[in-house]
Amino acid sequence: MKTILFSLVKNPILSAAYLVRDFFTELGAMAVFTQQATMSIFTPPYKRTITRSHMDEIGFGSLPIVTLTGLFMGLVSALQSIVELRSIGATSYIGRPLGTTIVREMGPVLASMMIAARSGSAIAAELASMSINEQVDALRAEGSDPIKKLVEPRLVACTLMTPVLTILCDLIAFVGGWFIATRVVQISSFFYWDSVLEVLTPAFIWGGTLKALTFGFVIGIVACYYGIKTGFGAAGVGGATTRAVVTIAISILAIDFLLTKIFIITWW
Amino acid sequence: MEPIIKLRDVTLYYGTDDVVQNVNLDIALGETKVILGPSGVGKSTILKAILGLLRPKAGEIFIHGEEISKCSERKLVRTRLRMAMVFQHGALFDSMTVGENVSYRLREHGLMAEELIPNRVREVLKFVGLEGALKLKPAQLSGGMKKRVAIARALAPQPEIFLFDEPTVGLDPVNAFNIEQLILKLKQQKVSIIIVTHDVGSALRLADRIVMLHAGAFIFEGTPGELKQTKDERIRSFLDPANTGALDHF
Repeated sequence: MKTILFSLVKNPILSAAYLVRDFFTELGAMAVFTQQATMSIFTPPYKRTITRSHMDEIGFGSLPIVTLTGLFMGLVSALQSIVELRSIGATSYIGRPLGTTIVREMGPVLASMMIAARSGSAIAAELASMSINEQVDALRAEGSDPIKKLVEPRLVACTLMTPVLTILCDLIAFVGGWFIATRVVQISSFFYWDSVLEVLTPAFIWGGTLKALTFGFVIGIVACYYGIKTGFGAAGVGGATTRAVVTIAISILAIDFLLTKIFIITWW
Repeated sequence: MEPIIKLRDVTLYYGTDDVVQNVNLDIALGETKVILGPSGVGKSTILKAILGLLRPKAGEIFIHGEEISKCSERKLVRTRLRMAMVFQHGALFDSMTVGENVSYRLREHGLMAEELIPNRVREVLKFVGLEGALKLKPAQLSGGMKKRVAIARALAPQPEIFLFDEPTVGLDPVNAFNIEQLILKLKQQKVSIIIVTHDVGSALRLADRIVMLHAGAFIFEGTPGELKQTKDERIRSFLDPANTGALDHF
């Protein structure tokens, strides 16, 4: 970091040019990797058993953290909504803002962030460790394709499990919201769920699920990419994990903005 | 006789640096050739290029007369299946048992009927003296045992070419001796073997011919006897660093 800062001060134009070049080189390499991994998903043989075991690991493994995220998201969102709704005397409609914000935005983004932190980092670290121990080279030496063997099952598992966990996260968030609604503002359970369901149109539900599916794919691709293309030694594993999680987090936020804009223009 | 492996003017690189420049190498059928040299001069890189894991920057690599440096990954798989590499630290697959590691290629590529695989696995594990390790995971093995399992994995599909990357590095003298004995046993099967090492004693004991890599180029090729007789100062200082000005050359 110190070196980058020093070279930026010393020769800003050249350093900036190098940074831009490196960024696009990395982007290009990731695009090629994404293409290979995506092609692999649709090319037999399919690694069903390994994929199922990764789905189990990502799905059940992330369940506690996603449940807690959903619960606190619902509790906090409900409390924040009450503050605003109380000023206009509309606290009984608390389910409406919760329904839209959780399903369209907070559910997919926060659940994906948690899956990235837990499973994305684990995938990057595992693959980086395999790379450093020459197991990836050994796979190729044994005539196997590391993309097929290592990347495809993890990518499919992340892509499929993120929407499932997001839906669960949304449901738990609604339960959190229901707790605040019935205990703090004393509205009836029926009225709460009625106002939640009122805003949950198929377009919102599909939009949120599509976002989660995209985020899951991004988690799988980025984690596998940094894991496989790691540097040397223990620092390589640490670096790969950090880069993977940071890149996933930024990508999720950027893609969320893009998808929201597209959905608003087309569906919502 | 036509060499089974031929390298012609091969230049290999890592990042922006050329590690090996314009090297030529021939390995005949049934020959054991040792690539000797200090650490970090590109010995393992040559092995990876022969296996097609690295593409050369320039030059040609022929395996059984077929040029592999520019062929597709799919074609390379066919070539790789005629070879087996024993990596420096074994590179066993962590998630699999010893038995699964050893039978990996047989099952993955359907090289043997399923009912014959357990026997073949037991046979090669017996060859390396690890019959009892069938169900163990790599994490439960010592360094020497991992190397022996890696040799068993290489042996199982009966390839024509064996590549060994530093087979005795990091092992105690007993384990190093055991590994050397295994390689000598393997030599009797008339397969081609390339061994990369910086261990002079091991090279002299195992090689039919030795090539010495220095500063990215081969500076010697000959028999172990010829190596001992050489007058080249760079080689002498590597063979006997205590009595020569080793630091002047390495």
